[in-house]
Amino acid sequence: MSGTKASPLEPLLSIHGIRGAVVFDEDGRIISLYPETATISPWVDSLRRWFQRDSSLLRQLRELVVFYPRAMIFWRKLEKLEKPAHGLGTEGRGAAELGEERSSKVLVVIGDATSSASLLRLNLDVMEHSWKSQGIDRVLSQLGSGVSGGGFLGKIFRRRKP
Amino acid sequence: MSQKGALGPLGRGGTQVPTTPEEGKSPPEASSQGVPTRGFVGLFSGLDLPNLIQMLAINNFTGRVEVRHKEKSGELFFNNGNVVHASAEREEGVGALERMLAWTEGELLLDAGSSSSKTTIEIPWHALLIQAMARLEDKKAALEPREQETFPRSRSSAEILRARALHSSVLKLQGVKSCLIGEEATGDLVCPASGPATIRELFSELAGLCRMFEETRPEASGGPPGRISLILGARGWGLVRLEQYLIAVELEKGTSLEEVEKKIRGMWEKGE
Repeated sequence: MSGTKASPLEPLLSIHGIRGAVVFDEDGRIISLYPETATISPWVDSLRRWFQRDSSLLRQLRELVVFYPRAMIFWRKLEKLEKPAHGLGTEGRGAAELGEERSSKVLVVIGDATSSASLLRLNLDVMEHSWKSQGIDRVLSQLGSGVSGGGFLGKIFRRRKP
Repeated sequence: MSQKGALGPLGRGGTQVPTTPEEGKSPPEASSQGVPTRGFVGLFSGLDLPNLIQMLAINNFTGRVEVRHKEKSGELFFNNGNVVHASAEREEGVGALERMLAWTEGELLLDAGSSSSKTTIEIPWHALLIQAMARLEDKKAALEPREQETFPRSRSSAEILRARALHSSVLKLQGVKSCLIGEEATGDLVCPASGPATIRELFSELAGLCRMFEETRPEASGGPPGRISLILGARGWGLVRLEQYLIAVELEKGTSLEEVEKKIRGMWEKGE
């Protein structure tokens, strides 16, 4: 056994046409990337510029799929409910009851034009449910040395109150 | 029994001010037997002929519309919302309708229930209007001085009618809950023509999003995006880019944007 922890994003690449996936935290830092050699900059930079704006559209946006002639970009806001003190899951208890606060991460999946957005969506729904039950932070662990996104994604999330 | 009503004057701009015969407007024509005719007199100062045709078509109107302009007059016959006959200035069919569409002021008289013994027009009302307005615009453009091309081009009536016809058809598609059509370059909403500011803002934002994806697309993308799907709050939206237009459709859950896109493109090509 190598001891290398498998990326939680790895299963996405078993879907036909999917080439890579990346998760950002709400400050725009990359916290998970698979494969690690994936070239994401050309796809993500345009989103970064767009999300520097503040608008009602961006606040409402949960998911976005762009169909290019030879590519597909899938963007989804992964929202979690966590209890800050202990980071426990929320199953069986209401958020308000636990005094939890909402925070978010963003998943971007890059695929070619033959990839099916609906199949990807279905897989993501299942994976996201699993990640949430285990705790998104634990599953999508911080890489630490990730590329900074300059805090652009923070604008579209409801920020934690101090 | 037929029902008559005079609508006058025919013009552009202003608000609808319905009046009754007692309020001083000329009453509708009496029948040849001298029996008072049922109906109403209304001042529709914001109504122009293309809009009236659209309104009557959408309401499956059957009857006659008399159009008076200065010393000229013409008539249109509707059968279940479709224009089946037009005559004006010794001309019949589409040519007569074009003549009437060029009249920018005058009076309209509605006679519901009347039918024509002639059929000189056999194309659907929306295609008819698009064709007639396009030819009218072409005639106007040929007369206008060329230096106007240095100014931003405004939407022609034919373009607006085509967009309206598409809007009406898209709303009939299964799985489509609402539809916004406008210009992608400017973010201006064309259909619906009126609505709350929030809808206009939403459309403008969506158009900006499309422009961003087109302008900043990576080389490997193979070209500008054809369609974009979004989930805003709990609502699913699809964006379809069609020539200068952006069509935003709100979809029912489970509706395929790809299928809707194909239908929209098909309808646009057919001029529906």
